[in-house]
Amino acid sequence: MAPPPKIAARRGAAVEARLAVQLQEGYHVNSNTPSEDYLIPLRLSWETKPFDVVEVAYPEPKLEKYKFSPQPLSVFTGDFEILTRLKAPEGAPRGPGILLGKLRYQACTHNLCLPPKTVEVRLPYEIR
Amino acid sequence: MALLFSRGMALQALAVSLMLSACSSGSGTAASSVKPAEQRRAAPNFTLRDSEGKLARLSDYKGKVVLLNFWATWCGPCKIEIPWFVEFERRHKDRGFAVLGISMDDGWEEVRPFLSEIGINYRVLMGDDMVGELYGGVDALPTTFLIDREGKIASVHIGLVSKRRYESDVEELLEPAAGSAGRRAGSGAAAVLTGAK
Repeated sequence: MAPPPKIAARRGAAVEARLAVQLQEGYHVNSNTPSEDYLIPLRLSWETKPFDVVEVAYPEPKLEKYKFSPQPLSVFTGDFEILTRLKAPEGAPRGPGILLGKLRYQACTHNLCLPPKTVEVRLPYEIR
Repeated sequence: MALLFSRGMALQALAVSLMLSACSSGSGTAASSVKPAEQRRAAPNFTLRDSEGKLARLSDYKGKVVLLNFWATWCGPCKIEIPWFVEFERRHKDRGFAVLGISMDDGWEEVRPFLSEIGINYRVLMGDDMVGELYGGVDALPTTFLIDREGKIASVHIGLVSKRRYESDVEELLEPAAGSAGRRAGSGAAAVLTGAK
């Protein structure tokens, strides 16, 4: 994962961060709302301080049919973005920092699956 | 508010690269992928607990043909194969054959309900990273090893393959005299995988 560029936030205002995810061709990850209970959803979570996490917005999932499932599955493939809306509270300390997040995912192809993984996301910020 | 976001706030891209690649042995042909006996290596022994808490060792099964299946409840392709293995266990158990499932889930909490739901008739053990490493770093699931009566690995399947291929392999191992004769060197399944970075 490449270090993401810094975001700039004003106290009391909101800011957006986009997490770009790339999957190799042939792979999919379960969406944030998987079709089956046993499937592990994609999940981006953030430490809250010093920001308030207003929303984590996932793209519209695709419904794709795989030979291992009788029903189409709700998945993400290829390149996609996860949008996070953050708000810096009025009393947030000015200055730079790094917001830590975790991205949990579980990837499969049409005939095999890789174990669920959690990767750390480091978002540099500056509150002005 | 949306306008405020787009005009007044920094919009930054955070790049996550989940570069994944894998190769599978998985074609759907029925040709046996059993290696010639002289090319087989010993299956590493292990001791794991089954769903009743009892210890199980691979060495307990020496003299039997063992289908050793690494799987997990979150693995869709694994769920296609498991009913086949239930059938193989029922059909061949009296011929010196046993299926052993190794779950790579985090614990029995997720696995036990699934065992009842599917009606698994063979022994399922809880795996860990150590047993995965013993078997070459099992990362992609399903991964299945067929072990001959001498305790040697006769074939490996990574990913979902056809039921007919398993049937062919199992039959060949259950009748080794007929199956091994004339098998040319290098016909064994080769599988390479690379996990997520």
